[in-house]
Amino acid sequence: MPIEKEAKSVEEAIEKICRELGKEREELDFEVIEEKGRGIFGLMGNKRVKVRATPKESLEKLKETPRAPKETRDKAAKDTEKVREKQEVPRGQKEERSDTEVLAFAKAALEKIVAGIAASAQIEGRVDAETIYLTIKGDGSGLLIGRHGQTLDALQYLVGRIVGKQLGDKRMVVVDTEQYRERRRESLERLARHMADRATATGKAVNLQPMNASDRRIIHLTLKQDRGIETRSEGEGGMKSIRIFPRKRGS
Amino acid sequence: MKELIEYIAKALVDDPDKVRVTEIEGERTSVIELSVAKEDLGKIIGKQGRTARSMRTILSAASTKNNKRAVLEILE
Repeated sequence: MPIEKEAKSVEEAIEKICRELGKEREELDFEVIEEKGRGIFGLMGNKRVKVRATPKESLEKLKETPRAPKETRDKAAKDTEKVREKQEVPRGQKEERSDTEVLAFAKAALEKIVAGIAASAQIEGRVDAETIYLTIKGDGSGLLIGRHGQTLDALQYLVGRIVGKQLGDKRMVVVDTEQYRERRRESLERLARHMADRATATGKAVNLQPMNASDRRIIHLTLKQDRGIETRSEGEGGMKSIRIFPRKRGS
Repeated sequence: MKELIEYIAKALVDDPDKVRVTEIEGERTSVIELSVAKEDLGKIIGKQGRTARSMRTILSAASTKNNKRAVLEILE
């Protein structure tokens, strides 16, 4: 069950949650869901941040079966912990930046990398509370998309890391070109429905190809409402694969 | 392509001054060697090698354009 708390700083909010639940911070996943009052140059009002905590793996447990051997899991948890701690501690030295600045920085970073691949490309972007969206004006060659979007995903991942590292901004970065993300989503939805039909028709589980987390998410969400089947991610690491199970009648 | 890797690496590490990139050019393939401060090695490799893999993906897209293959070696 997620729990949310507001406080002056991320640290403080985390403390509050831990105290309330009587849990160690290692047992929880934290997510900053709102930052208020940083106003103009951080001068206006006092700062409030809202942090949401979810017990670790509770979401995972529902969806991602079977589990990895315990050692790997613990190690993975520790690794995430390390990264998380570094990111969660508010960076005192680093000043809060306005959305415009963050967007400009992200755009410049992407521009720089794209320039190294293709000739210079035009980039448009916008930003909201959770996400920085960047769109590259493509030449239609698909060079920046790559096989199954892997080049686009690499760009997205690296720009996300760079923005996180340089600005301490934790927002997600989404990079798109030639409406690829939209097209990919549509084709995944089609695939999901097709495979679900096959699972119900044959009464046997259907295996999908290994996919990254966001692609898997689309499949899970597409089939969530379908009562006749059940979806599960299997395997380890970044590229798990989904199995679609037909549900027995009446269950 | 050397500059590309250099830019990405410098943007990801704590100690950008320790980032060294050398390009060994071959006829069809060049090898780009990247070395960083020991403490930063994890940052350019990433969880399950994701950062390194992303850099290699970018590099291979860049080589398609330049008609020349490039491989990235991370030196320890």
